[in-house]
Amino acid sequence: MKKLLLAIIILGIVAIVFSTTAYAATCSNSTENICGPLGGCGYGTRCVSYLSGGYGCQTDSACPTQPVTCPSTSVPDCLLIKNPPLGATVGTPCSTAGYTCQIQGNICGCVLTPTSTPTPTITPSITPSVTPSTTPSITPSLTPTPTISPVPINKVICPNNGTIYPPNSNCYSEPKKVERIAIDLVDSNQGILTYPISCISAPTVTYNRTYTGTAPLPDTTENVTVNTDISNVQLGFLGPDSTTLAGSNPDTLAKKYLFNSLFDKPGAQPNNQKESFRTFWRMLDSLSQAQLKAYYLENTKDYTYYYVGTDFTQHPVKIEDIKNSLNSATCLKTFSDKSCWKDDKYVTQYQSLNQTTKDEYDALLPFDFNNMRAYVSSGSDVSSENIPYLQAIMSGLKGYRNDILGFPNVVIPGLFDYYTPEWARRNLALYPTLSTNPVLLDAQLKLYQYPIIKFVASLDLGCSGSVNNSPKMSPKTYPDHPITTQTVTVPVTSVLTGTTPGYCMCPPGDYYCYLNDTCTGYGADQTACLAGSCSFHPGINIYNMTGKGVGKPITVFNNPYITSLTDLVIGGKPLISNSSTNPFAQFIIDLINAVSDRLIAPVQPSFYKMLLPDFASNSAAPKALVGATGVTNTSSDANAAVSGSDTISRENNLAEDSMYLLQNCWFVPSDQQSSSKCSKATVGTCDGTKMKALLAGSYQAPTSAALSYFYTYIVPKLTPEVISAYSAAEKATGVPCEVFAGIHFEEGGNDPGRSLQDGSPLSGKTLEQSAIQAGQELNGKAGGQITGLDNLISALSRYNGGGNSNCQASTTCTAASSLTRCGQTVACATDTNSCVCANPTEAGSCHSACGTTAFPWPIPYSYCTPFPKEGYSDPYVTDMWLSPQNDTMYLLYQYDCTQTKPIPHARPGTLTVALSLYSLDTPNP
Amino acid sequence: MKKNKTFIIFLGIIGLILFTLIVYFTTIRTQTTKQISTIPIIPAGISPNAPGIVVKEPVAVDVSSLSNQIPDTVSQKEKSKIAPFLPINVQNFKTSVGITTNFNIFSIESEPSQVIHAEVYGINYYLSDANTNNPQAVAFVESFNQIKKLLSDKGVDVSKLQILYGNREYIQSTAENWVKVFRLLP
Repeated sequence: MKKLLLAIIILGIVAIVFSTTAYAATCSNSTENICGPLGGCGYGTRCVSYLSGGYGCQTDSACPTQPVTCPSTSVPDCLLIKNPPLGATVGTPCSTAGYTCQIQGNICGCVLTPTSTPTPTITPSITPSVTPSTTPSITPSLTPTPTISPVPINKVICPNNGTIYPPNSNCYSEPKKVERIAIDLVDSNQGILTYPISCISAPTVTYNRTYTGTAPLPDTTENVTVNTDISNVQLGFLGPDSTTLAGSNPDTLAKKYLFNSLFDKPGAQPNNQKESFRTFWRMLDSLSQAQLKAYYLENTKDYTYYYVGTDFTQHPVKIEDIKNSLNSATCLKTFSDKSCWKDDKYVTQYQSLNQTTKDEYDALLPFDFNNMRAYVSSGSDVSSENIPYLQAIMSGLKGYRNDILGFPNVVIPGLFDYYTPEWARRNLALYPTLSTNPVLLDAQLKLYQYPIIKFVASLDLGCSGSVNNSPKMSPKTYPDHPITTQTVTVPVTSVLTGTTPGYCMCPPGDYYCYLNDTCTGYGADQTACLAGSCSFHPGINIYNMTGKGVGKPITVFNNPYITSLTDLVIGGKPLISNSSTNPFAQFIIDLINAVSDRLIAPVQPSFYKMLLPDFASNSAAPKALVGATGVTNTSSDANAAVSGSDTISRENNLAEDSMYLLQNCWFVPSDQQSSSKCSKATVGTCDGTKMKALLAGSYQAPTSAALSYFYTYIVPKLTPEVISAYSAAEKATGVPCEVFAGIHFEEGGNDPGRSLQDGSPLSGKTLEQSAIQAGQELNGKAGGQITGLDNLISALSRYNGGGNSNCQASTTCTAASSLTRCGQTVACATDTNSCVCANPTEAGSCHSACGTTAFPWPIPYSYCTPFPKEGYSDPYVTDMWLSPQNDTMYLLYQYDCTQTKPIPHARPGTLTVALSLYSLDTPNP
Repeated sequence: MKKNKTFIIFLGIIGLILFTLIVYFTTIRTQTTKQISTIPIIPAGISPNAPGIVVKEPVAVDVSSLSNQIPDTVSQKEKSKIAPFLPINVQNFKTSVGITTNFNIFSIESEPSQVIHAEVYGINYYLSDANTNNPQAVAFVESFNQIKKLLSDKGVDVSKLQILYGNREYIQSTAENWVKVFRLLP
């Protein structure tokens, strides 16, 4: 007992000693051998006793170095905790579980730290009802979020049959399933045929030929052969191509493409943001995700996918390898074992995985990336296209289901099925399919499919519907037989444009004939000379033959699941949409709709129906065809010029555009909406048109630190009110709308009550007037009108004065070395109010001693060779724009006429803000 | 039994001391944290940079003050002589001190019609010393003389114009001081 007592006393004393020494101010006998501040020393040193007596701090490599702390301009979570006044230590946990403070450019942000949970999804506590709610959703905002860099990917182009499908994976060749073309009895809301029809508009042939001959030429017709080449056509929507994937950050992709907005998910790299997990991963609980992955792994072979690891590099994962890695975790790869899904057995197995396997497993997107089929036909031949992403999106939303004749009829639920009550659940339409055996498929296509396609195409149904002329970069569809030929008959009119009269000529060497002008007369029919020895040279007529002819449009047979996809986003219509005031008639309508809903055309539950009130379906995007690029029309006839659309119209972008509105408008409070598409018609927008013209292809995206700052601190300030003023100023001055946002940020924090001149209260002026004045001033400084990026940058620097440009002469002035301010008065060294533009400079002041030829401290900015163009080194303009040259820029004059020791400016410049806003809403900046 | 009772009391005292120490040090840490929380977070507005760093933002020129120097009508009349030729831009003007300047002469609709801008770029107006040892001042003088020549060629008396040298107050005051000290205008 005594020993125990003694131990407790010793422990207590030790605890007291350590508690006290933790705050020791100096190194002494009580802190001997203790490292760092605990020992009364600096980081990297240890408190030691000297042989000569006394104690001191000595460098010791075993002592920890000073922890990296966040700059004091970091996000709140990394400021409000610990370590005054420098901000939190890097790695400090943020208030959100799983996130820690990490350096991002000039600031610290909260970054997701890899955890042991399967995926950071939000398990819904209440299953959303199918009944439309009565008010617009106030779901947690999906506002554009801190943005990360593009994901590194393989830029591999698949040989002959496509680019990278799925994203970050290897190539797929042919679709496994081909739906049979027939009269549509299932999803009949938007078409008659199972394959909705659109077109490639008809080519126009302009014929122009010069004809030279003796006889007059009658008006005629010319047959011109036109080749329409679709070998380079793209899909135009749904998902990105590999180039776009490599060059865009995940947030931008999610705003552009339906696949990314629903299913994107980052790899294991440490800078991942929680917002990078898109709708699917947020809405499904871990059980559902594990089941889907298990089903996917159970049924997938010969497939490689890629993920970005904690080392920021890309790693390939073969599906067989991950199956092997999951060797003992059978639940994670065997859907059919029902015991796995009880008692969280799958969770236990997941937690026992090593980190690499976890990363690989987490990165798996369990969707069917097999292509679907579409056709293009002129009536005489047929090309079949591969349609990527469509099957993946459908399998994500509606899960997996066997073919219509499949047995047993396995149904693995998709996202919708988890969120839809049993009674409201509708199976996705299943169309009869052709054989999956390549030989049989080929035979069936020729026997059943192609004759119908050719017949429908030959009906020449024309082209109708508006086309979205801003197609998105997307994978090619690699059609077979990509060149379609048609003969265009052009009515040609001949016009005589010149004539050379006939003449008679003496025989060669007949000087007598020459001297006597013997050959001067023609016969009556003007086809021979009077003198028999003369040779007759008939006259020549020159005709210009011109005409224009229009060919036939080429019919595009879109995959029927495009219609189903639209229904899943905005909801399908009942078979009979009209209502009747007659109760009996209404009863009949309801009866027919009920039968149709159950047996023929199921009205799918949809995102709009689940999340928005009834009237919201009217706010869905207007239906427009997708105009995908890549069509080329040519003719081998040298006299014919062929013009025609370079796009192929596809059915349709309604699902994609409507999802955009849902995520970026409906789910975002009005004062935080940044997309112009959310605005009412009366509110101006920054549409990027002027900026695009000004940049003329020289756009370079701001750094991720800048975008992070922009989304966090600036986007919330860009209300419709201020954007409207910027937009009006753009119209009045020609200066891009986005530039006003940058200037107003710098001068007035985008506060609608502050001016763009210097941030002072507007004082009777409107914000629009202030912006217009700023635009006029900027034009003046640009020399009349802003003509390009260099011109804009110099004008913006001039707008702010330009004195802080980081590339200017600097030196080490002894008189200033111990000071932080070098002003023109002596008192400025101690009193900031005395820092004024005094003249003459006071004798004895720092400025007097250091002169005016060079900045009195070294400027630690190392990007001045070669000397940059005007404004490029001005932090007020370019800070945070490009890395590394704009990562850290310095403020040199904190007060008028007072040089101050360089300090990091640490916020985006005017141009950086302008470009950030431009990138926010411009599809292809 | 008595021994046990004493032991328990002793143990309790030790525990109390440890508890007090823990509370004490925890309190110190909490107070420290509270101090940090009063540091302003990034001002998403006007004042840039780190908390604690004061930046005196340059203010815009008060254009109305120009009327105190030259009557509006006089300036208006003089400006009308050059108005058809605006804007005037001169690029890459080499000065004797090695500073290359550009200058723009222009006017904008949002300002009073008698005001004209004659702005010289490439000069750091923060370095406002008005003596010939200041290369910024020398570069301005030479550039301004060139502007005067350009305007004089069009028959304009520069001394009768309400001139804005920039949109920042410090640029205006520095330039006006140089014009005055170096007697650039009669």
